[in-house]
Amino acid sequence: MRVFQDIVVGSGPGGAITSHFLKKAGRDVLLIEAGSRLFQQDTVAFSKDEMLRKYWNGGVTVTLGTPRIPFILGKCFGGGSEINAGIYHRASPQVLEEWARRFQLRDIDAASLNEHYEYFEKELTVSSMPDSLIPKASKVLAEGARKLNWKCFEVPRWFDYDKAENQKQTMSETFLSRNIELDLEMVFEKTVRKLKQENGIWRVLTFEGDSYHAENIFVCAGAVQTPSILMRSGIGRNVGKSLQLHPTIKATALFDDEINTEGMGVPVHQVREFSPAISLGCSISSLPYLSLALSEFKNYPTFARENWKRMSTYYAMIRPESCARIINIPFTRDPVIRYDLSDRDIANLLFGLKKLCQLLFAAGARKVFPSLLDEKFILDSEDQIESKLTRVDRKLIQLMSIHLFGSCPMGENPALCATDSYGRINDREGLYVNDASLLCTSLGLNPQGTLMCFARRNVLHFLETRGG
Amino acid sequence: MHIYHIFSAFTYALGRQYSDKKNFNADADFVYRQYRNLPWYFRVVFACLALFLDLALMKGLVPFHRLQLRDRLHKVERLKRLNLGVTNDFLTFFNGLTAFSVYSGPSRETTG
Amino acid sequence: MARIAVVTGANGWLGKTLTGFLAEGHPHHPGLAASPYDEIRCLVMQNEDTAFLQGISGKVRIFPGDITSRASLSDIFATDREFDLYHTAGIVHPRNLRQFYEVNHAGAVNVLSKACDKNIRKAVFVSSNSPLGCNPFPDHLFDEDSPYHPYMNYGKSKMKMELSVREVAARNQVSLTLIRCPWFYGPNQPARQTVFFSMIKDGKMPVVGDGSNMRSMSYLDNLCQGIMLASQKTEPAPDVYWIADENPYSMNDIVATVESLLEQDFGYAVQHRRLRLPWLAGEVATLCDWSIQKLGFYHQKMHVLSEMNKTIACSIDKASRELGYRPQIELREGMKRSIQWCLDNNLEI
Ligand SMILES: Cc1cc2nc3c(=O)[nH]c(=O)nc-3n(C[C@H](O)[C@H](O)[C@H](O)COP(=O)(O)OP(=O)(O)OC[C@H]3O[C@@H](n4cnc5c(N)ncnc54)[C@H](O)[C@@H]3O)c2cc1C
Repeated sequence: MRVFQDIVVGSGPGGAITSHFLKKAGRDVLLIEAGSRLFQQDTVAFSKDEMLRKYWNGGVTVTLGTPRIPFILGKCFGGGSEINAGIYHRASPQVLEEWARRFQLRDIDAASLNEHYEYFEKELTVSSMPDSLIPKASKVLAEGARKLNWKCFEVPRWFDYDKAENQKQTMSETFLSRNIELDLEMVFEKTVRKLKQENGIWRVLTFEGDSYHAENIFVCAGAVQTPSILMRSGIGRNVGKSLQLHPTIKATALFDDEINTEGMGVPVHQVREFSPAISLGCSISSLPYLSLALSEFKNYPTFARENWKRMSTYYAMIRPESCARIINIPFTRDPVIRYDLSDRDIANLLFGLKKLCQLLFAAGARKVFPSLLDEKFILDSEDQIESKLTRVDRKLIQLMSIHLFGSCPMGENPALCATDSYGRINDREGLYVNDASLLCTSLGLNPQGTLMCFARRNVLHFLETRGG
Repeated sequence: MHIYHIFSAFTYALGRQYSDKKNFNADADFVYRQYRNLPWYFRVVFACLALFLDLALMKGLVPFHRLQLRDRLHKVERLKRLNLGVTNDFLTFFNGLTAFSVYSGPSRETTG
Repeated sequence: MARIAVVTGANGWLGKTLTGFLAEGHPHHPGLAASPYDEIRCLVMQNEDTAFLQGISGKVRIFPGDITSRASLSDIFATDREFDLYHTAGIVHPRNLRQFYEVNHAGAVNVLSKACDKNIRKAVFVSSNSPLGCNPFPDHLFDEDSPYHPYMNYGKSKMKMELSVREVAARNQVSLTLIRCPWFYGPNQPARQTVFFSMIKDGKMPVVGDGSNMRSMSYLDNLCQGIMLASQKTEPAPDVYWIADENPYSMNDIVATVESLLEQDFGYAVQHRRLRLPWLAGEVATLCDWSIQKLGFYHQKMHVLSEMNKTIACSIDKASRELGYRPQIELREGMKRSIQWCLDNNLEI
């Protein structure tokens, strides 16, 4: 029986970084990934093919509750980093302060975290888009904000604009490629079912029927699967009860001028006037996505095809107070996610939507299609916003979410936390979580930057204290 | 196979809104594969609903998935107007994926 | 340099027409105008009347043989020169079910295996819609990626044929194209096909259900164009194309077109009636056909009736995109030529 020193479950940002530093320290490591061994060039970004091959459940699962919220997670070599927009943020001091206070998270002084942030900013070439490349759809947002005198920024991304192709610095492009050079052992298309500890050795069982052994396990399977695996293994304290996501509402706008182009990708501006409660930004707006956005408006079936160059989709994302619960279902890898948004969250979403529409009209929109399931909500001018969007049945609100985290919060508060301040599962020797599940609360911002920062912090701490 | 046929009968009907092409197989495939991607508990609900609608939307003794286009469009329209929660979800799922797929371009994607 | 063409099933309905085009070139496509062949080797059954084939051109040479017997194929492949193989032999309405497999499956494998021992350049094998069965609904179209769903024994025998010849071709690295064609029509048809015109004329044509079910049909000249274009593709990987007229026709259209032709162009008195049967009758016939075949028998009329309310339609997009296939004759013109041919050959309608 082969016993590895460490097994890392999942190759998303959490798992990629964890396995990299373990391997670099000379340890005997195995990486287990449920998705396929695919690289950036193997699929076209935001295509149907990518959906089928790189998304967990093809991206079609939803949370249960009213409204039901579709959410997207990656399932491939590199996890979410392969399919995301690459938008980078550091956590705000207020949020970190809250984590320290409520969750009693230790050792998160700005200086030590900055070292990690700076590491990734350099390693992943976090940078601003050259001005000449910034899409018009993005500038429209900035223009609207300028007219209203709202705070708006161009957000940097982990993109290497000097490269001819594969500019996005995904995990498969960076840390995982380095892992390949370091001869890290990896298995693909194996979905971990549960973990068992026998005589001080961990046994990892998969749905495919394999088992692997190691002294330490790092569960980095993302905010839904990590708690799900732990719960299947009977490790349950404060696990899976506090999943957070960023409910996002969208609006698609039609302008006079052409603002959209083939292969535009995701525009890079964000409006932070209402942060951290609400942020506004741009979404992927290729023709298939625009058509999807308009598909419930029966009288506009070909509208997107005819006007797509003058259209783009924008979002309002809130930092909710509600939490979701993960409920495991026997004999299946996919848990049910129960998520009931509070009335305040709904009100916040509608407030965000109104602000977004106001901004779009200020920027010159001729028509705005909010993601509400009725044609009566389509807006032709700014003065319709109040009358049409004030009373909306929550059943008609179409939301989505791409940021999930917080399902195994870290810290020293025994009432709230699933792990200690460095991701070690309490009372279990050799069992760690090191992915988005650890983030204590919503950042109100795109989370991967902060998740990477903590992933490196935690794994280096492990190497210092135990792995030396 | 049976479920696949019912799904393509829906996709072929809904697809007409978006394109005047005649062959919607690539789109039906996409919708079906996305259905297969659902966790099993959602899949069971969808399968039962599909089988139920196939019979509920019968004309004469002919099940929905064998009706001609005109009749199927008519039935889908009626279903929409009924405005029931769960059938709405069913149609939203099909309609959204069909629109997405039709506008994603002509070719059937390869799988790896 | 000129090549040889080897045609199996040459004395059949399709074989005769194809042999003609191979010898003289096909006028409907500029790439096919000149024949690349200086010799057309035609495989026919022993003791068959071959006057028609021999009348086509001096390039035609007749070789008696039976595809179910490998030994009888030695003569036709006795050459060191390069040749293209056109396999059109097959059986639709057999005496018993075993024949389906002997001829359609084993026979095809015999032919290709024999050919692969020699200097073969390209193989084109004619298959049919039957490995895919029927479309689920009238506006559905089969394409080259549609999954197998063979209808009964004929379908299964053709599916096995497709799978086996692909394998033989791949093993021998021979370029193979499969042509799937639905119901074809046109001159040189066997006598039973005139019954079709007579039934329509006499108002006895059965229409099952409302007649809105669709049929892809291929006029022989169109089909031959597709087959010959396919022979120009010499990529090694086996490939498949649907070949038919541009669009499928509804059963009602087909009957109405023939009616109007008989009446207006040929001056027949037409009854303008149909033998209308309820949709369920087609389903019952399907069940009977299925039961009969399960018992190992075959009943032609039952089988034909069972298909009357079914849609069998395909998309020719891939052929037009990749082969440049452009069917030139559509239903009315095609049927007109078929009827004319019957009259020219003193067949009574
Ligand atoms: C469309 C989209 C756009 C986004 N845009 C941004 C953005 O611009 N900026 C930003 O900061 N964030 C963005 N995010 C969020 C970001 O991608 C995630 O926060 C991040 O990927 C989370 O990393 P993780 O390591 O926790 O988990 P994941 O990335 O989810 O990785 C988990 C990995 O584990 C594998 N796995 C899961 N379960 C198992 C199992 N049981 N056995 C084996 N393997 C398993 C999965 O296949 C997956 O590869 C976006 C997300 C999406 C979906």
